[in-house]
Amino acid sequence: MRRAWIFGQPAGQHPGADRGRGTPDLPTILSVMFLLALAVATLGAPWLVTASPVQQDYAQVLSPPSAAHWLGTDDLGRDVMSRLVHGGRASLLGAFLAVAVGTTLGVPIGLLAGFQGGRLDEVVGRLLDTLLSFPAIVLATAITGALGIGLTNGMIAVGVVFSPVLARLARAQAMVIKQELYVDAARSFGASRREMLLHHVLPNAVQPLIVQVTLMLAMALLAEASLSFLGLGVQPPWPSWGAMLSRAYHYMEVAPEQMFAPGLAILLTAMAFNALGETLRHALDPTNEER
Amino acid sequence: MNRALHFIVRRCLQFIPVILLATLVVFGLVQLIPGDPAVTLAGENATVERIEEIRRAYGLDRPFLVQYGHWLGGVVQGDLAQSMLASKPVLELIADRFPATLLIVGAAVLLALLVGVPLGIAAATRARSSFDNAVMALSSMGVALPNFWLAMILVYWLALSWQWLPATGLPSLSDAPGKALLHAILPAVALASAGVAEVSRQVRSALIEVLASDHVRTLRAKGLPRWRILWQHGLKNIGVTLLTVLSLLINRLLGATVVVEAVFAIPGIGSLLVHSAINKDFAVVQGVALMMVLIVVLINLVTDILYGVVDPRIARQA
Amino acid sequence: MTPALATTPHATAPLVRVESLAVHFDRGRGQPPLRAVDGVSFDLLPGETLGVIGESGSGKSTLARVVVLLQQPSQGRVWLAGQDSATLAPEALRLARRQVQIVFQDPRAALNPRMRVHRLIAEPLRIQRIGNAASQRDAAVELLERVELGADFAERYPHQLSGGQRQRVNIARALAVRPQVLVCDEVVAALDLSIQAGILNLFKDLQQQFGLTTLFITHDLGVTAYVSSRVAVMYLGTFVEVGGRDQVIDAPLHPYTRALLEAAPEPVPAARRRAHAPLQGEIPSPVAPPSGCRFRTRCPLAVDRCAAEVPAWRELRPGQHVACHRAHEALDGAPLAQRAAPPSASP
Repeated sequence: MRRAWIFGQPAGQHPGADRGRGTPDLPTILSVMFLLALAVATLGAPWLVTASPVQQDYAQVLSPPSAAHWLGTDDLGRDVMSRLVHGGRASLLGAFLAVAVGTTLGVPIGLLAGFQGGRLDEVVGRLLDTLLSFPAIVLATAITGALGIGLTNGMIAVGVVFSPVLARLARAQAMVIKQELYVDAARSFGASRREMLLHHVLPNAVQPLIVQVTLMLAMALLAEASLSFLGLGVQPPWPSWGAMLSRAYHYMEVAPEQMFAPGLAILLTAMAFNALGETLRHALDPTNEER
Repeated sequence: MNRALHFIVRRCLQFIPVILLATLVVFGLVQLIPGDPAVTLAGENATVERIEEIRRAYGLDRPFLVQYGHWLGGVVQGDLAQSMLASKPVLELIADRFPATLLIVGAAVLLALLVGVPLGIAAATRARSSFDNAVMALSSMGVALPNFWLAMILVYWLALSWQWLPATGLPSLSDAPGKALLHAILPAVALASAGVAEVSRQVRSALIEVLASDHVRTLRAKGLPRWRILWQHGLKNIGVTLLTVLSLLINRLLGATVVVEAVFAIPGIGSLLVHSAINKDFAVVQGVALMMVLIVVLINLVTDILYGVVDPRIARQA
Repeated sequence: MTPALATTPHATAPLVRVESLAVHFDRGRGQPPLRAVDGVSFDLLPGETLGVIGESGSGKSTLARVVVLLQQPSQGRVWLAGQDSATLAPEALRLARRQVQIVFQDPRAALNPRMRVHRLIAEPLRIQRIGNAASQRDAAVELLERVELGADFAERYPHQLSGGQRQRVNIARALAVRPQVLVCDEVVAALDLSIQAGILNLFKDLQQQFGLTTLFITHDLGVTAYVSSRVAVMYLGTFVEVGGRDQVIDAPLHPYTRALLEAAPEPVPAARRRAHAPLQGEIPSPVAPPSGCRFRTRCPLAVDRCAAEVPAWRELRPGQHVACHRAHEALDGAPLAQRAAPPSASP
């Protein structure tokens, strides 16, 4: 299956046919390459980019791109390129944190509720419905407000907001898998509930979860941008893409081009995650697997 | 008729636990405050007496359920406590600012539907054409686009560069309706962008499924004109989808308004929420969160009931 | 109606004893339950293979699941090696499971598609905490040899195996903890005819090698004749006849058994083919079994008494029990068709 994904389908397939199904189309390749480059750039930020993201230089306020500053400087004379890269690091790490929190909270509860059924499932189901009734940003804002503003708390809040979505998905999967004969077989050997969940339910539930997690990375990124834009996320002087946008907005009349770099970065990264998620969805589709 | 009433009552009853749980969640947020909540809520430079005052006012020294009950009792009577910063009842604050939000969100919903549905229909009827692909691509972008980035761009182009529309603020609808509407255009467009993407996508896929169904194929084979098939059979069958999309849309837009209001400096409840969260005016945060979730739950309840109307099979199942 | 125990007291203790077993599935909302198993009692003696034969809907799979403790009985009890399964504490229950294992009908569905063969086979050992990872793997490989697959199957995934191979893996897995009793639920029904023989022969070999006592569920007469030492005929949730294999197959007493045997496709030259009374209709719903004798709605011998009175469980020959008002008429061995009576009054 992976081979088909990387090396393409056998000849005779329509090029315009439904996207995915083993063919790595251009968007996918571009997305993966882009994300890899991004990962390297942002994770290696402290070593790759020498200019400081926070050092102010009033002499060079809002200057256009130059040799010293590839993307110019912002309203406080700080190097935009450096801020972009460091900001990317903050934004991406934040996105991963949010997704990690969401997964850790949501998946076990969802799997357990779906597998167990009965009372537990009813209660959990209602709780999930309730949490999903909150507009996401509203709940995230409220939680961040309670925890105290800042990037970490903000992304934890986003993770909490994500968890019902993952829980619901995990629950649906567990409800299907628990009917499988091999689960019954495990039960007949004397498997405990924990063993059944860990060895049989989880491995077979994981595919749609992976797809969802990838798509959520995009959403987490946008959430971080929104939160930082609102002032709830990354606090100055540290950069994140959302925070950069916020600042750029305030100086829009004077230097509108400041908006483009961070905005474009967010857009492209989110699209890349989405494309990756969609491809994974097609590739991992059980009806699609080469046997 | 009796059965219809029965159905409605049952649905309402099913929503009560959800509403109760929602209030519990909103109330429980206070528990997340690290350290001594009373200190945090009292704000900086608070005297010891002030802290104790807060503690008593919020009932923080009493067991959780007692606090909850007390708070809930107040809520039901319309008392959402006082805003610390504004020294006004929270409910009053919210009531002041709600119309602004209602205006832009309402406009955005209309816009999303008016643009999204036809787009979705058009894409579905031309499935797999270049038009369809373009719509799908735009749709993916629309979903990925940060609302406020689009908002910012709109402000820049339309408001600042070309001076077509006002950039910020929203005068009261009752005072200056014309001006208010003008001010509402850009925010509504910004809000609607993600909405249009999602609506068109859902409508398209639901319609494609219906149009490909055997039922419709038979009608086609019988020679029924396309537009008639579309109208009578296609659209009716996606009624359920539309309802779902609508309720999800409202949920999403209520969230997006928080950001959009910040961009356009709209004095609505979204910006109220943010302001209060940053300044730890927690009663307001709770009040706004509660109001928003109640709106969403009510919309869900109404759509659930409407499902029964649109598709009688659902009503029978209940 | 619960017939008394189907066997007389034994010299050796039964490995499994089922007493007055009933399994009723609740269908909710004031509807009558589905009576999958409705009064079954039997003993499973060491070393024997009890073949349970019945059509679909007879409740035989449910019976199998109860014996391996996957299904709770609504009434009645199951004793495993003298212990009442209902009284077992969780830990004791887990240990008791070592004694009874099951091989399911669907070879593919019974195997976790994401686990390799050696892990699948070793899983019971792991769950029962027998040995360590290394010894478990060795045991798995040894079992693979015993079921006539090689050690090179160990790393494969289920989707890389054929139906027959998967079933061998299932058998290997069931034998991993060296159970005393093996329940086989239609283990060859899903396989091609050409494969069935191989599996059945394997099974007979393994039975010898491992000293297994077996409960062999099937709908196929030929299969049951081949593997069983005793046969129980099941209809609509109860046993209608139980006896030694030769007794039941060669000289059946119950009209249902006789009809099954006469209907079985057999290569018989036209001259020797006898006229037989075909089974009418289909098995009634287990939700509302017919009054009196359940079989009467399809029985060529049914009379009024059959609707009014549940037939008693009688030992008409040594070791052969039947529940039929007119079973004794078959003692002389005459074919069913000659005995057919006009159908009884309304069911």
